[in-house]
Amino acid sequence: MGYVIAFMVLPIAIIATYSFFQRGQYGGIVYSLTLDNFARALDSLYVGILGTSVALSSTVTLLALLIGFPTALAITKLQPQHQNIALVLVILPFWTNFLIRTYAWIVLLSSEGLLNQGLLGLGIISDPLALLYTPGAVVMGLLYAYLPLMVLPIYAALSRIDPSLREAAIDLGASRFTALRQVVFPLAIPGTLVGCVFVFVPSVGNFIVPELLGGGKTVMVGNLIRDQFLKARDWPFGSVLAMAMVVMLVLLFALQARITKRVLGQG
Amino acid sequence: MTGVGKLGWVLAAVCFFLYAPIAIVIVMSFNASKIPFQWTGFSTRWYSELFANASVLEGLRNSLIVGVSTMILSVVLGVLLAIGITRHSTSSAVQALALAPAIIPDLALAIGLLALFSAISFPLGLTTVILSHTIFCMAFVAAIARGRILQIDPALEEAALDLGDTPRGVFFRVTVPSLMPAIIAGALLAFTLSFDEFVITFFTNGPSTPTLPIVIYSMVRFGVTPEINALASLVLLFSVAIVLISQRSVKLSQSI
Amino acid sequence: MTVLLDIHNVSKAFDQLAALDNVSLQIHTNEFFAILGPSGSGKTTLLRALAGFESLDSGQIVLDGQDVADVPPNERPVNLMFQSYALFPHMTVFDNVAYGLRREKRPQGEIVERVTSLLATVGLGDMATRRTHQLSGGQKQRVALARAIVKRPKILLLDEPLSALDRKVREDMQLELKRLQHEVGITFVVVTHDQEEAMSMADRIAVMDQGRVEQVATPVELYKNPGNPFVANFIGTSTLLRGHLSSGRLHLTNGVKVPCSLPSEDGAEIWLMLRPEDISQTPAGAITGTVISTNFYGPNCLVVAECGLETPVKYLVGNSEVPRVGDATKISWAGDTGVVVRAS
Repeated sequence: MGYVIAFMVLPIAIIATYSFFQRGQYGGIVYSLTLDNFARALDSLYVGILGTSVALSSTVTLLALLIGFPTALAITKLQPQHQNIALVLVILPFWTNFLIRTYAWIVLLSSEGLLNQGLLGLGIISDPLALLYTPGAVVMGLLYAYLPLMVLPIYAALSRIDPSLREAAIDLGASRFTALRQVVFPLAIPGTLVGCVFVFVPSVGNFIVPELLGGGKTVMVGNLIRDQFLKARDWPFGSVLAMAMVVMLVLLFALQARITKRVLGQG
Repeated sequence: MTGVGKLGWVLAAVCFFLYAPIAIVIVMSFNASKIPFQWTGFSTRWYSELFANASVLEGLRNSLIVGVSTMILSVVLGVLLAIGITRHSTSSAVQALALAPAIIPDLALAIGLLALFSAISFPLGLTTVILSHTIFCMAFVAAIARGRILQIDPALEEAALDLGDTPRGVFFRVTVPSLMPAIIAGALLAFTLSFDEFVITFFTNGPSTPTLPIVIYSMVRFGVTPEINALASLVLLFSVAIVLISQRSVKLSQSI
Repeated sequence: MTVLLDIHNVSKAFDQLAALDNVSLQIHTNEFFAILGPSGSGKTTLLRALAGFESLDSGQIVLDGQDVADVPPNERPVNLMFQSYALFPHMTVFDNVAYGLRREKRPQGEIVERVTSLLATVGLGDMATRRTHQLSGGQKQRVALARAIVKRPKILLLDEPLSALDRKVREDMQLELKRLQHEVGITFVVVTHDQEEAMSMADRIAVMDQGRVEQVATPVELYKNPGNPFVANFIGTSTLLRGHLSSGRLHLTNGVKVPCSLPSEDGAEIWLMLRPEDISQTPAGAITGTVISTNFYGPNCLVVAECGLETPVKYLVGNSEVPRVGDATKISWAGDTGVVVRAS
């Protein structure tokens, strides 16, 4: 039936796409097998870049978690009719143009930008701060972009927790904070992990933020891959890097699924 | 349940954080001064200059063509896909695979698609962009449709059959109407995602048919200008409007 | 009575689990038939097979002389009233009921006439333009019923028609369904797990368990002469006692011997089924026991007493003689009451 056909279209497209990854890394325009590209990837320069990407993305994820969790928690405590509005408010920026949202930060952070103008005007500093083109700006940009993606899954997990569980804990003598810690947090772990993955994954692969807000001084895996494909035209090498990224992410997904299963006890 | 309390401050701060940069861009777009950071007065001249800018208009035209085409294609395919994975298969691997494009980093998807197109020597242009966007948006539409399908009583389709309708008739008279809210929400979402899409477009587009995000990108690389502020504000408001309309229609139909 | 539906040696298994095991059954024209059984008995599978939504592994379903096993559901002269009602949410009541007639390509005038008159018959005459989500449970059910009846099928199948209704509405609906069946003259086949429902509505009942038909009979017959312990236990309340029959006396498992003049072979091991009204509490009773619970039933009270037998004994007393929990009691029954039930 029509269903089955459409059903098949997608997986085939994806599989075909990735099989070209494979083909690519085994040789260049000459489709011969070679592992040179793998070796090159292990060069310290590239490993360093991968490391930077992971480090920055992890920082972003951590910050998103620290900010996102209380936010999600706050939304669950709103009145039901307000919860939906709050959710829409939080997710709305995400549906707008990514480029523009990043651009907005250039406006804010550049040396003639508003943040500096404000600080200068208030006399807190005497020279404009070099806020733009720093790793910090990249972190900020990524956090700004993906924070909503952390809030939503955590909210979904929290709102699914039966409120009487928490009340039972309190009835049995736990303080409000203990009840939070021992009942709510553990049950929210699966949703939190999903949120972390949703933030980490796109952060690692992002090249716009590092380029626009990092000024090319902070190079991430995304930039590298982009350059290999579009500037250096070394597709095989770019593919190896991309594969490295994808493998890392697949491992991450597997880890997340594992932990979720353990916490929920095969639920 | 206890009220929001101190956590309310967190929520407010986060909302401020999320919207302040956007608000600033919108405000600055009305700045009469050519130098972006000095306010000299209120003006809408940058907006009118936008409409005279040929490359902006071309980008807009291309983005609309791609957006509408993607919307139609991804809704049709996405709904069929959702029906397929929800009603006809219980394998969770299949479900994961079908919804994968929404979760894979867009960069990976982008270069994969680029590799695919070049391997079959398909010329890059708006067609490849539409195809790429469709694969990406289809997954989102499928996810939305799937949620709605799970809510619907499966007996509805059996009842229609029992009353004498053909399987095709059942699809068009019962299945599709009952999925309508999901279809509308999915269509609007697909359009928005496509309209705002940059990364995948960047890789799969040909050199002569830029979409709006690509035009914006080339402008932004040169720094902050008032025209960008105006353009950015318009695009933002356009996206927001579409998302809000989509939310309204989903909410309206949930009462049915 | 003519046989309308002949179900012949029908079997169906899901993943090696037999849902229907060699089921044979005959349903007559114009009767109100019930298929009764606990969950897992196969009754729902049988219903869906009759409607055309389940295929058979073996056997035939002969409707009015024609084998319909290979006929798809949209071409069978059989209609199903779904347990969840399955009303189309995007259509009005009228459009729901008219759906089947429109698929038959009937002329518009005929459709309007048949739908409006049937809606009036089921008491929904002024609801034609309402949307289905505005209706109460009982109203939704009537729409579902009307929608299936309007096509004048040879057989109307009803899947647990009363399970979703409140008790009072349920009792009214039982009478409604019986009246409707007589009025429209269609054969009704109801599938249910509720034996009171089946007993009060049906002309004949098929009791099913684990994919097999245990007994097919009228309600009275099932109550008075259950064919095996399962049916005895499932229909009505009863006490089933095992015993050894010898020279007109039944040797019970607690050692007591009671007179038993029911027809059976001497020396046989039998199950004796006693209804609560068969047993009475008397000071001269041969069996002693202790009352463990009393259950008020309107005009009388059901007493459950532990008497050292394999199961507690259930008997009825009038409301003026209700014992207290923990009291000692003596009970007995006449030698010619009860039913000998063979183990299947």
